[in-house]
Amino acid sequence: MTNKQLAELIQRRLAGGDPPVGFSPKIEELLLWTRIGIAAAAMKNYSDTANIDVENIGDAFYVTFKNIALLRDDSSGNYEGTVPAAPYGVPFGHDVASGYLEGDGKLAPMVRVNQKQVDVFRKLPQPPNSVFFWFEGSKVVVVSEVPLTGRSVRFRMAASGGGLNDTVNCPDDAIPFVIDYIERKFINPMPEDLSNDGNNKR
Amino acid sequence: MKDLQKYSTLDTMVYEYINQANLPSAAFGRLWPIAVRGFKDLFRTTVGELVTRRLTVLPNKIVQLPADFDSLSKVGVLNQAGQLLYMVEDRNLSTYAAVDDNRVALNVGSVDATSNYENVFRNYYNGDAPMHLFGVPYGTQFVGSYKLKADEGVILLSSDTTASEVFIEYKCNPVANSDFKIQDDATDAIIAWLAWKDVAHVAPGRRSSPTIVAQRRRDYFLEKKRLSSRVNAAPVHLLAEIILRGNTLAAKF
Repeated sequence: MTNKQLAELIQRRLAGGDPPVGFSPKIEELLLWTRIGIAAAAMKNYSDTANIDVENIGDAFYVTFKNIALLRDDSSGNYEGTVPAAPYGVPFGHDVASGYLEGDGKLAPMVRVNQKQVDVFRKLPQPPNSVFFWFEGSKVVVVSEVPLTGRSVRFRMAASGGGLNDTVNCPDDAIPFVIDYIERKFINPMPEDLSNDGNNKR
Repeated sequence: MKDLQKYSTLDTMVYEYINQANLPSAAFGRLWPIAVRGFKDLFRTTVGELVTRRLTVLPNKIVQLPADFDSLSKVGVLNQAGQLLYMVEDRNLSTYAAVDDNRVALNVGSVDATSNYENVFRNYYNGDAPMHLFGVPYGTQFVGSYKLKADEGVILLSSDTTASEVFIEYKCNPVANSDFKIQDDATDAIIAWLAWKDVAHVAPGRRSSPTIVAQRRRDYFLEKKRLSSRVNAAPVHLLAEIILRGNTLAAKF
């Protein structure tokens, strides 16, 4: 299923059939809502699996972003890149599963640093020849002792992404939750208060 | 370290624990420093191997320790047959001005220890030197004496030492082994260490509780004991040799 199909499915349910021309919410708006809904579904998936077995989230939530170019930040000496979407806020290790340096047809794994321990890891024993990274929103910071100019990186992470025609990043069994989630947002929306002049708040 | 199959790298052991505990691979960064501590513990107490180096004796009769020195095993000089003649540790050797260029001259006193002064006591003295009269222990020749002064990074030799070079056998610092290689036998001990320390200081919850921590602590020491029995095994031929060398001729009354 593509992102567009999912948005149309939700739009049809909200319209109670074929949506008339000019129906609101529009597909583009629903696309944004589906991303939020899928992120919520990932978190729910994590909680559910934690209750029955071991913490986990479904493989279908993951996406790999390749060829992320790195630029050196002269003030810190670190390298920075931008991924198309920020990782979900699911617990550490389930959000960004892995990071690799690319080049020459080979991948070299990088060591993930927990955001709350960024200031600590340099003082601790470090694995030999390691490159470290952490995320700040959709920005990734890479720390390396060797120059990485011209190198690119890739990440496997739970994140929403893709345009209307891309496959939806969500397992089918989580789609009902996404649809319910979005429908609840549009049922009985807050009516516009035409009597309010902006000075007297209710 | 030579690339023998008996050695595994520490990172593979960390990955084994991540796999076994069903943790995300991103846990590696957190577990690595913990594993290094376990590595040091096992290296120092159980699996560490000895290194031998040939070192120059400086004019003031001291030897500079190598940077990766951890603990001393033996100090000696070579004889013509390629055997090590050991030096004995002299606990009375003065450490005053240990690294001074004039160390030898600064440590010469005025008390004549060969005479019978009132305040000089000996256990047994035959007129020339302290010695065993009964019970002649087996042993090799001892050539000279030394005293370790690790805080200054030197070994002090007695002033009558004539050797220009000495051999020292020591256990190297585990971190100097930069590949973090350790005997494959130690895998379960490292995993037991990781399992213990992974949950030791986290808030009690699904993964941790005082009972789990206590049990895993016990597991670690059991694994360490199991490892020790394999690594420091006492083969029969070695025990027989120890008994043979320990036999002394003694006068019976």
